[in-house]
Amino acid sequence: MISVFVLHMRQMLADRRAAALLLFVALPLAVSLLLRFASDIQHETSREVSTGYLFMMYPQVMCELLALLYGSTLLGAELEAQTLGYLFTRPLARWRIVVAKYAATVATLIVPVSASLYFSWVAIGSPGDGARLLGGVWLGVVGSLVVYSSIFLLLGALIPARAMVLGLIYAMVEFALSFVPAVLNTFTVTYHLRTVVAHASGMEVQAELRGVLSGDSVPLAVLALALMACLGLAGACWTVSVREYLGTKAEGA
Amino acid sequence: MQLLIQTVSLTKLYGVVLGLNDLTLNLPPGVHGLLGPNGAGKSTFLKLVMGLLKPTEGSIRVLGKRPWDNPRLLRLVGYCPEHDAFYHNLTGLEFVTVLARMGGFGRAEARRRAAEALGRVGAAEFMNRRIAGYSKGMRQRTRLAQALVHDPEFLVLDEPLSGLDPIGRHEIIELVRSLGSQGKSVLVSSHVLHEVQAVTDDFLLIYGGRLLASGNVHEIRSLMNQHPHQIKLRSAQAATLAHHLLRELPVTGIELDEKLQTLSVRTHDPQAFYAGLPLLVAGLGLPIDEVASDDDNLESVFKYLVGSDS
Repeated sequence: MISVFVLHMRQMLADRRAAALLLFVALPLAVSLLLRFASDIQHETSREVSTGYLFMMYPQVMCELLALLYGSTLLGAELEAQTLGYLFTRPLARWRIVVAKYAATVATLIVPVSASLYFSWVAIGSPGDGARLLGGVWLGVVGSLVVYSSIFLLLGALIPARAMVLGLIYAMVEFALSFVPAVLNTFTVTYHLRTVVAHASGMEVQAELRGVLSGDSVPLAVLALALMACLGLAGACWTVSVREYLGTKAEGA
Repeated sequence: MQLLIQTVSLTKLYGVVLGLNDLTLNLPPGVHGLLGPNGAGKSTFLKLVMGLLKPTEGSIRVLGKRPWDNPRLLRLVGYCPEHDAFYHNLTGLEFVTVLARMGGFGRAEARRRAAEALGRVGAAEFMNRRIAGYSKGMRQRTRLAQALVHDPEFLVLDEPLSGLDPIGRHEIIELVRSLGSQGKSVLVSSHVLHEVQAVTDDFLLIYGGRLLASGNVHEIRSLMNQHPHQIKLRSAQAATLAHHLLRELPVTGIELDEKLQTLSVRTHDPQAFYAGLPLLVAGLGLPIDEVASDDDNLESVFKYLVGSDS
């Protein structure tokens, strides 16, 4: 499994893909720097606004997009390059290959995104009590990458050819549903991510925010996210274990 | 004796397109050729053997085990795919090493085995260069090395000679032969007849998703005795010869080309034909410049069976 992990990490960091990843994580940092130099907003920004800004930039947008980009193509890229056959003919159960590739994806994404988040936080004036705000948003980064990667991985395992488009539609629908009160929003990743970030960063949750995040404790929200990640990953493992990916007639019988 | 491959009514459909049709086979250990034109179903069969595809109907066992997602079996089998696919940012040595590590070898052992396997296929010279800069022949050798790296009991090689120059072909043919003599089993697919014949006399003929024939080339020959053989004759008196052949020998049909002075004779009983021909021409005093029948050659067997069943 470790060799699959290392191979996948190397492929993610190879050539143009690494450049694309760096460019991606540099974008929110550039926005934060612009904010810093374009105004003196950092001196007046409340904890709530800073948390909201960092949450939106990182766990909500960048992490979800990166998870979509890398999670949904985790199998599709190997299929397209016709290299999946090498992995599936090694003495490794398919679910192990999936888990190793998933873990490599999350681990590879967490490092540059965390660095970008840190520098963004510094750029906007290091708001919050010491590093508490930063820690809260970082938990959101980890949660977002872990959960969304597993969901998009599942989509990629089910429909490799259309995973990116379907993932994008899913992300938009899920975002909209996260604002629907009562029970529906509790089934969304975003809702629990907001809960984790708000509580962990020490944000004071106003009554009007109750519809978009939970009053539950951080552990409960983390548990909900962990359950979603496990379901996504287990679904992907099962799908890859039972589904044929190679040897279509188009490949040449 | 443990069978190498055992299939019962093995059928594979791609939607409504037939990939493999009702294939029943008991293949013993040894070196076997899998022969058929492009699109015959060779790669489909090999992917079923490797557990990359599931049968639509019927069953398949390889070394007594079900191949789908079966790591235990994959420890015993090496696979060289037909696709020219790689992780191009790796060197040949890194590529084979990482695949060896997936086979459960430690870092140093995997590297040692990878270097050894690359050496066996004549790739040692360029194994430290990135695959992106390899020629087709170099890539083919590297693909072969990754199939050999864990010293499998059974090798499945899908068109292993494609892209190789004549020297490379000779080296790989010798390698497959030596694996056979070491007691390894090999299944080699090709659509080029002389390639398979150079490796083994035992083969499976596959066409249109169906197994046309299997066994030794001579066993196929006896099977063919139920069907007309084609024999070519050249004579300055081709028309007269045709007339007498039809009357006096077991001939089912003749095509005459008077311009080229050739006859194409079909017979169900080639042994009787060959026995009677010298007596006939000696008795009549007819000249024959050439008699050509390459029925012992695999190519003629293939052409005949494919032609008659297509």
